[in-house]
Amino acid sequence: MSDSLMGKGLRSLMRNLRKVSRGRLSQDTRSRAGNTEKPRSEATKVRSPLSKPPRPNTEKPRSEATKRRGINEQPPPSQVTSSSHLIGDLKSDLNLFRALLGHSRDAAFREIRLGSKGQLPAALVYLEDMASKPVQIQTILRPLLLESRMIPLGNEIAGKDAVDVIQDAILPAGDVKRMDDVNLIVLSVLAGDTALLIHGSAQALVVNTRGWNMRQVSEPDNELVIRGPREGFTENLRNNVALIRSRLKSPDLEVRYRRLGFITHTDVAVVFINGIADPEIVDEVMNRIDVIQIDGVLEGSYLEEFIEDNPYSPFPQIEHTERPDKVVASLLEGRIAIMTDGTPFAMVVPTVFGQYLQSGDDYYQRYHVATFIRLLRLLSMFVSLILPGAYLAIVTTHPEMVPTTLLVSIAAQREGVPFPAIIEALLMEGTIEILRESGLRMPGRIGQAISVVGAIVLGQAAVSAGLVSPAMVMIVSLTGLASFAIPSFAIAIPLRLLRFGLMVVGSIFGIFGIMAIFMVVVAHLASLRSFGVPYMEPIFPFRAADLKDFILRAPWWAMTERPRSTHPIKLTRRTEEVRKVPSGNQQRRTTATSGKRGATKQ
Amino acid sequence: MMRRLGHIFHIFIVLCLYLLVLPGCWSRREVDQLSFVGTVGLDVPDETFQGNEIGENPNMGGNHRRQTFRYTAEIMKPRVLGGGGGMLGGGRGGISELPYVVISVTGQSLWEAERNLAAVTPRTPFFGQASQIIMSRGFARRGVYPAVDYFLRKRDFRGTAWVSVTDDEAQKVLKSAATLEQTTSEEMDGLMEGAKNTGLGYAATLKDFALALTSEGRDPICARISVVSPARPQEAVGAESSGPQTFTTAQAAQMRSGAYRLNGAAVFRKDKLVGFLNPIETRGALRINGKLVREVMTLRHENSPGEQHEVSVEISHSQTRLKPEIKDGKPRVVVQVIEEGVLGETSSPHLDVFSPKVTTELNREFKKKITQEIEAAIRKARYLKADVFGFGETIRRAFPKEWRNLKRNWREEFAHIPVEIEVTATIRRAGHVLRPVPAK
Repeated sequence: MSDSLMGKGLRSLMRNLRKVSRGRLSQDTRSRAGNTEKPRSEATKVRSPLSKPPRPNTEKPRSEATKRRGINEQPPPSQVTSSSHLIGDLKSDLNLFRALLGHSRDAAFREIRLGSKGQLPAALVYLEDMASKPVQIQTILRPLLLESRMIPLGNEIAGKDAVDVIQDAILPAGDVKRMDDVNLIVLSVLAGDTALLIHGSAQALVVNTRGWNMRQVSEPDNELVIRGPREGFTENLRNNVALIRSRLKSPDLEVRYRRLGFITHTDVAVVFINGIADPEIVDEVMNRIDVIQIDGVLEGSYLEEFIEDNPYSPFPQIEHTERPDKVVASLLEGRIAIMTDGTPFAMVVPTVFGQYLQSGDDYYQRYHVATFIRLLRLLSMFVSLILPGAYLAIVTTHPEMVPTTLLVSIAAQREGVPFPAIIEALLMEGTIEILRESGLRMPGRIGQAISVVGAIVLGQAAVSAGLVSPAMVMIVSLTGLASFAIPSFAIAIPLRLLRFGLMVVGSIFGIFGIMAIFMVVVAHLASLRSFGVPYMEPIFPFRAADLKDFILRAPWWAMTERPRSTHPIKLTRRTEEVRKVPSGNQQRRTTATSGKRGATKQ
Repeated sequence: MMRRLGHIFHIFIVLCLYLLVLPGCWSRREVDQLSFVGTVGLDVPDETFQGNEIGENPNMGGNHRRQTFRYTAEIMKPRVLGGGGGMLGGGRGGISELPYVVISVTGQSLWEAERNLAAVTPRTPFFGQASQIIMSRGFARRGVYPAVDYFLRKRDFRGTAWVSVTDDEAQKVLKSAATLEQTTSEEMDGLMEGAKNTGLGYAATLKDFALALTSEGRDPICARISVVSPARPQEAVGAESSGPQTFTTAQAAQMRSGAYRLNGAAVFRKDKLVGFLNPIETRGALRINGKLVREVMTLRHENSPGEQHEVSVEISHSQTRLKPEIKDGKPRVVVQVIEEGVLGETSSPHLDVFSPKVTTELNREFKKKITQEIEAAIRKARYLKADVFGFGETIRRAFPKEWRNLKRNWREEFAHIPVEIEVTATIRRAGHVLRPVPAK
């Protein structure tokens, strides 16, 4: 056996594998990522998508493993390099898989014999850690080995016929696919499927046996509601799509899958309602996703930075949520959800600024209350943005604006403080930020305790140490409190950054500086777009009809129309949806996760 | 994208440049380094005095240089006033410590005098909170133009400050202790705010005062403050006006005997004080200028011959219109006053205020009293030849052509033009009691 030959064949296979996974991406020349070359060169170095920690000596264990499994006859190198299809000869096919997966300890190659006398050799290829054993036994091994004894496999039924019979009559699994491309089979196996190779057939049966451990559906911690569903997404994409489908039982719900990441092969689902969502926006979403070039996608935020309209803006332009009900509500508004496997966060586009001030609760509580609370949130957004800046501006440059009694009181408090007000404010704000960040990192209960106690004790101590004035402690804590009233963490962060800017400018230029910054920010917000939709709609451009669900929350019986900002095809919410006949020529890619095609023959 | 970013960056730079140039008040001030001036008192220093006043230039042979203004400032002490942060060790010095200091300095100009404050106070004076300007009679007689000019030009001074004239030295008012409020300025604010409810003084802000001074056909009027029992500064601090005088703790506590009160109005011709209005005349002036909100008047009513009652009426609504007219080239002003009152007190159980007869008579008496007050005010103003009611201004507005002839000699004209007073006065309500409370 020659290592060089082996390596050569492998490398070409790996290259083919990458091509498949990249699919049309590599053909697309529009590159948002910018560097098309880099991932490729990196990818060649990586041995296998599933190899866990990179081992320093990559060659040796592999050759050892292949030796141990007794691969003496090398398949002709020309065959391997030219074609990545199965040949039909079980031994050589198996060797192909051994070469690709054999270096992973968890790869299993189970050879079995079918038929009444065991005339038909077959093999199962799967990953022990990824495939569910009970499912495997139930849906593959048991029927094949025990229950199909009476079927004369091998003798009368062989080759392609045997595959037909096994797929149609023997395997009691729902999701059985027929594949002949080694690369695709390997990808499926890597995702937890089991491949059944049958001697004499150039096609393998890939059975869905995915069954690794998953977090249970639980209530999302970051988006709590008082009234409303308590389910949140998990890290499993299929589970998440199911959570949406269970709430939206419509044939018009369309899920398009893409696979991103040259190495991670992460599934991404684009979910929308056919007949409501604007097809142009859907196309735009698909186009933007298709040109992403990246080796790994671990969270939706990886995509977010690729597909957002203004990548330099500190403001988030894509909303994300953990709540299926929120996603469904967005879909009904004509928005499009982008869900990534491996993360419980779904992204919703197009996004307008107002969404960040809304919470699921608004729609489950009485509308008067919801309107009041939205006003309160708007107020707290302003408070958290400008309060420290405005305080500094007024106290340091416009003391005449403060009522005399209050000013005298502030001055009295400041008398013992050695620093200028701006230093005092930065000190206090910095402390709060550190507290917030450390509270975030600290484990559960300790974190909470530290945050609250820390804030009180530190504030008190800072006052008694004469470092800050009590008024400043109050201002800073009020600001911190207000920033937590904003339902979205995503929008609170840029506001936090801006707050520091406003503090510095406010203390130097006063109200004038604050207004100047404010104008720049408002102009910037007005210039932003999310998938072509102006960010500040319905305020700018002004759309009176959309105001019913911006600060106000109109009662449901009055909200007869979807928001115009998302350009829904069907504006009214009142009449029953007219089913659209599926056009059929929509481009869909069969992916390993696409469950809806089921056991279709190719 | 990079080009757009560069563009934005340029705009940002330009905006920053604007920021450097545009703001008028970009100098940052820390509140704990400011001394908040609450009240400013303006005096003419004793002319006989020659001495080492602050602000005097020693090189100029000191003694011969006349100091034109004495500038007294009431500066608040935040530590005592605001209570401090509680943690500032022993901040409160007990009752004896006054929450403010009164500092007097002199200078050849007000601006110079104010600067001389810096020699006595460690902190920069801040006038944004100053709410009182008190001028002495002597200062006001000499002409207040320099003061008005100085205050209007001042960056941090506000037009909402109250202006008043005192019979005595302004310094003495400042040194008199407040009764209820903590500082003189707060106390005076309260008096001025209350003036429109009592009709005992004519409260005018710096803005009112300056407008009256600058507009054609109107003369300024402001409140008059009287020191009831004079303070005793001599006992407290050695020789009078020997340099800057600061009164603290024990000294100021000694001076608490001093008190001041609102006492009518001070009338100016142009920028010079010419006389005072007594409380009755002040009410008339307030009425004509439409500033009266509430006032209690005591009416005399003769129920049957020889049987007199006294009835108190509070004004609940007052409305004034000045109607200028010109007949045959002669100007004439009609003062139309509509007032409504609430009966609040009667001195007799036999007076049925709801009988039509009594009502008519009371209304007539009410009207008569109002007319009398207005007449008194006009009489006095004519005597002083100061058009504090702005009759000239209304004529100027209505008849700008004729005004051109009138304005040259307006103050003389004002003393003679016919003024007609039309009063409509009604008593609307009589409080919670309908019938008189029977007395056995």
